[in-house]
Amino acid sequence: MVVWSKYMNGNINKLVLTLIGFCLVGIAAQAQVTIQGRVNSNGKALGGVRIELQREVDAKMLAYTFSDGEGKYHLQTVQSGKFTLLYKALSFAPVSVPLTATQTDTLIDVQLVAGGVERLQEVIVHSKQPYRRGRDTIELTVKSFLQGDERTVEDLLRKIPGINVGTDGSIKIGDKEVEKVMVEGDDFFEKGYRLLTQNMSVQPLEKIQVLQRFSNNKQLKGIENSNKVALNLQLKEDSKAQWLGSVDAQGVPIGPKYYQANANLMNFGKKNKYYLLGSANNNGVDAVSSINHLIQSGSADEPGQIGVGISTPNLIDNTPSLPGFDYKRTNFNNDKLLSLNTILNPAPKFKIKWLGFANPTKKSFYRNTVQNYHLEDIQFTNTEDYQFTRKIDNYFTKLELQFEPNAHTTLSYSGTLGSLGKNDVGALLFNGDQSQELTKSKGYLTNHNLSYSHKFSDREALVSSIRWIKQQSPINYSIDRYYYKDLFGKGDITGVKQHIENNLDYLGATTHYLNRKKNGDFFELALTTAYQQQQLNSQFILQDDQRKAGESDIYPEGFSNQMDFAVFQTNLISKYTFKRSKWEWTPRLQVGIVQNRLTDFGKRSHKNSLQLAPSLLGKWAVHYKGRLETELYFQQQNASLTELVPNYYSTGVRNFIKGMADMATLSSSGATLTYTYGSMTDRFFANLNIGHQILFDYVGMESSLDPNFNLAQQLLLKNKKSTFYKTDLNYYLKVLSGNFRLDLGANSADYETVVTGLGNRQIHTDTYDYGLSFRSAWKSRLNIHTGYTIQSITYRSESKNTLKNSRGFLNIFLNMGKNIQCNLKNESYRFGSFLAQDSKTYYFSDFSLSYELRQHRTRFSMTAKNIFNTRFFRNTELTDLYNSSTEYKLLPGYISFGIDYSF
Amino acid sequence: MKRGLAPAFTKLNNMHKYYIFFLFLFVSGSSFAQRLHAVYEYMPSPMATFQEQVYYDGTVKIAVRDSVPKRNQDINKDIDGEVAPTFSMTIGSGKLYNKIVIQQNNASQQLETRSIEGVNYLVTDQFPSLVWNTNYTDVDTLGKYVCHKATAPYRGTTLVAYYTHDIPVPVGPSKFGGLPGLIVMLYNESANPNYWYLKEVNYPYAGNTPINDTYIQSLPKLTLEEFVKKNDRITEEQMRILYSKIPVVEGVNVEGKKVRGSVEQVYEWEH
Repeated sequence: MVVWSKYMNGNINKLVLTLIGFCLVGIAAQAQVTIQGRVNSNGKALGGVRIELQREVDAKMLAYTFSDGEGKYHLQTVQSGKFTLLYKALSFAPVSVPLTATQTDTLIDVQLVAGGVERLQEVIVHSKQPYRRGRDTIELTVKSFLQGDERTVEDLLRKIPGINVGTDGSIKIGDKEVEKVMVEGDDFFEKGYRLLTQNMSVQPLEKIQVLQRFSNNKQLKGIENSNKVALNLQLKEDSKAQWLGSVDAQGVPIGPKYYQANANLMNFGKKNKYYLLGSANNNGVDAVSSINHLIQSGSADEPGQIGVGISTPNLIDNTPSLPGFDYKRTNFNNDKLLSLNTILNPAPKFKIKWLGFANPTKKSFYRNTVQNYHLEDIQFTNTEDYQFTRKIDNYFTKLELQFEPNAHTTLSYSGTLGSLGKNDVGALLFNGDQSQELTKSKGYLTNHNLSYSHKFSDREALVSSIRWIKQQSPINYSIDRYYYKDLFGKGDITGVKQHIENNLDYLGATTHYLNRKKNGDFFELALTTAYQQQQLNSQFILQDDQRKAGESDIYPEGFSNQMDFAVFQTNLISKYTFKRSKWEWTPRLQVGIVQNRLTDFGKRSHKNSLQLAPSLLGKWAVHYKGRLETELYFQQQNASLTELVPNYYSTGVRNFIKGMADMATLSSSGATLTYTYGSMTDRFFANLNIGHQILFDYVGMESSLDPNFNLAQQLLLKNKKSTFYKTDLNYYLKVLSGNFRLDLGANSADYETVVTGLGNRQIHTDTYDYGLSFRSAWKSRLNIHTGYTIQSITYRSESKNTLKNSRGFLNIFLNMGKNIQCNLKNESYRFGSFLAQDSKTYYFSDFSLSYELRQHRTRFSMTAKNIFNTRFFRNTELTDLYNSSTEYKLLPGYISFGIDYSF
Repeated sequence: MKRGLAPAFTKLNNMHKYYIFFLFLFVSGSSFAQRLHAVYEYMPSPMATFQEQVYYDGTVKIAVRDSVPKRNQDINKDIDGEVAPTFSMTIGSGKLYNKIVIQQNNASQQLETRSIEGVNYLVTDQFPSLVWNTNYTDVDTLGKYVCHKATAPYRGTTLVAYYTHDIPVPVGPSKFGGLPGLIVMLYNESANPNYWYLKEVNYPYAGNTPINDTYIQSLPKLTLEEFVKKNDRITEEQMRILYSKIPVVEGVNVEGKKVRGSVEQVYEWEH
């Protein structure tokens, strides 16, 4: 008790001092009225009594306090006039004391008697949660976060608790990056939202909405599983649309002339929004990739989608494939892109979105391939020197309409129209013989989708869609030299050409019902039906140049097609997820009736089949750090068009291919198991994957090999088995403040191929991957990420071939203060020795430095590419038929300087 | 009981005496005749709801928050999430404790229990007094109560409270209170707001206060500053572990700015 009185004494002293102080101030300036006293009941001090000072006129509360443990209180006001003092406490009758404050210090003691509210026993039901607009929307008023020094939306977001803005402009709510930043519900940029948040002024903003568990389809909100977060910026009623944007340019002042330039211009009004983008470069960057998200909207895994990814097959493709290597280094290009985008909201329930772009581009690459066949008595080596230039002329437009007749229904339409032109010129030196390969394609594409979404309740929704696609991708192909004497016989042939008609018509409809049960279980039922008709007409022609073109053309037998393939397919898909706190199971069953009709030069054949695809997916939280996932499936599917082409067509200088004889149904089955231990924030974190797959029927290949041509015929074969193991182990080592990661992987497969003259070959292939890497998380300005991976591939048949490739990297990040950042990326590639060539290592190093002047909205940058000026790169490849090594010409080293300005 | 505890007091330093005094006052009763019991639902995120019991006897307020969230079925039937969210909630917290806040009327110092990595601490918080702005005309009816709006700046964020004049106690959830009436709803303005909703109120309350003062006294003691710094060190380490594991994004450096997953964003010593 001694302590308490000391404490109280201190308080009283303070109180007295404060009172004296107040009195003095009161005399000096305006009269300040202090009211104090004691509250008692039956002679006992009463604490916790509310004393409220009200203005008598309007009962406005001027001040309030609660009596302390000794019943004492003290109030003050600068107002004068008539007041009411109101004393109120539970279990006591309220007392009000009228008061005219004339003195600066008034003392009022009060006695309370029992009464008033004596009993409370209530359960309060909040009928709504008024300050969250629904459970997943948080609305923030912009002005309560403004401190006056904000310029852009990003500056404002930095001030809001709970939002984390990275140095690169990425926005996170908690730990989750936002999916998109919309303006009045409209969006152009998706994950590229930086362009908006770093440029748009904070001026027109009224509110910011944080949309959790965000769904792209509004009617599926709360029904489909979603972990996405998005932001929506709401503008003031009277806000004026402003033009804003950015320009950036970089170029090489001396030496090879490489450049890149971009200009963005946008205008966001409450109703209408415009966005213009212009881009050009010759430094290897694919300009159109920057608007990929604008061209493709809606992902295939969303409910109620149909016909996603349906297109004509790509029959002749000469572009290089360099897995794991930055293709920009080999891409000698001249890209230009102009894109116009607009969103109009003519009525509150109606939205129009339009996009158009033109992309005149030129791409070139140079490669030099040595291909070695070494199969018993089939032994030869081919060399190809190839210089390839492609001119692209693409024009594309897309219109989206969205109409919401009521809050539960959305009707949307999306239509695209595209003209896709390609003109390839390849200068080829094949085994020392010079020729020119031309591939021309002028295709067009139109794709229309109408979708209807309806939400029956918070748990049930229906999405129905209908899609129509029409695409034509004709190809004119020619080589001005005759390499096929051994195939078609000698003659006065000077060149070959091939014309291909490659058409697609598609009409599909689906209706998809979703139901989230009360206990968290999830049920889906979908009915899809689609009609797809594809035509492939090809004609391979041997040309005699001596006479007039067309007069003496030879059409070799078995090298032309007039094919029409129609598939009418109806599927019923049902899926049910049983969800409990520690586990979930999802059985899924797909039953389909498929009618195929193939017409080969007027000769029709039919095949009808019933296709089944059952699967079972399970997830189980084994213990608080471990999680297990497993999938079992059986699948039956149709053979595709290219697997059924009855006769040969050419796919490049020495390759002819044709499909298998019958319209087979391909069955397969498999199982996968994934175990995850810990999470990314744990020092130890590991993933383990195991899988096994059996293809009961698969499309294999019979190859007829000759140095000048390869006739590949697809065959139906049985029982291809493959197994994979994959694991990554992560350990954060405290002493080094960094994570060590060990990657181990193994794949093996057993299957058959056929080589004419050698018969059926049993192939066994093994791939092993080993990787070790270290990534630092040092507090210092410097951080590194380094690692080394080795891959070993083996093919075993008549003989055994092994190839070992490896890659190393060291990336150094240096943060030299708030506005200066630089990084140095180093890579090395080492390819195993074969084809009598020694193994060789290639080194690459790129450096970039940027300096930002935030207050001037300007950023300066310097980039040094390919510092070692490595001009050639030789890649090696091993397949079950051959091994090859390909040398690519690379963009030279250069140093460019750039400036980026926002307005 | 007073005598039994008294010798132990003298062995402790001054600060610790305060703690025990608060508890003591509560146990021994006070000038306020009857106790009030309020039950709040606390929602730190859309994924979880905790129950918080508040006891007030006119002088001392004790708030006790459950260590585990309410079962999904009990709160909002549409809560979902795959196995992952429920599962990740248990990661890294082998042991869970109820969170207790003890506060005396007019005293700036508050006591609270908080835990790090399964160790519970008794933390002293030199609580900055809340300067409530009650000058709003906004009125809302929550349950049967007419509620008035009030706001107060608090540790880097703004508190928004709705209180009722009908229940004249300066009580609210967690560390908050000091308004002319019981707080019926409270949240902080943030992209990750924490919400408290009053669910139940009982007066007079005859039940027990489920805290064990011997246990609370036995906890290791820290000031809030010490606790927060200790916690930040661990969080920062976890962030670095995460950063060292996430897939590389070209040229990205992680921002040094911290976002705390609670109402309290910036403390007095951090200005």
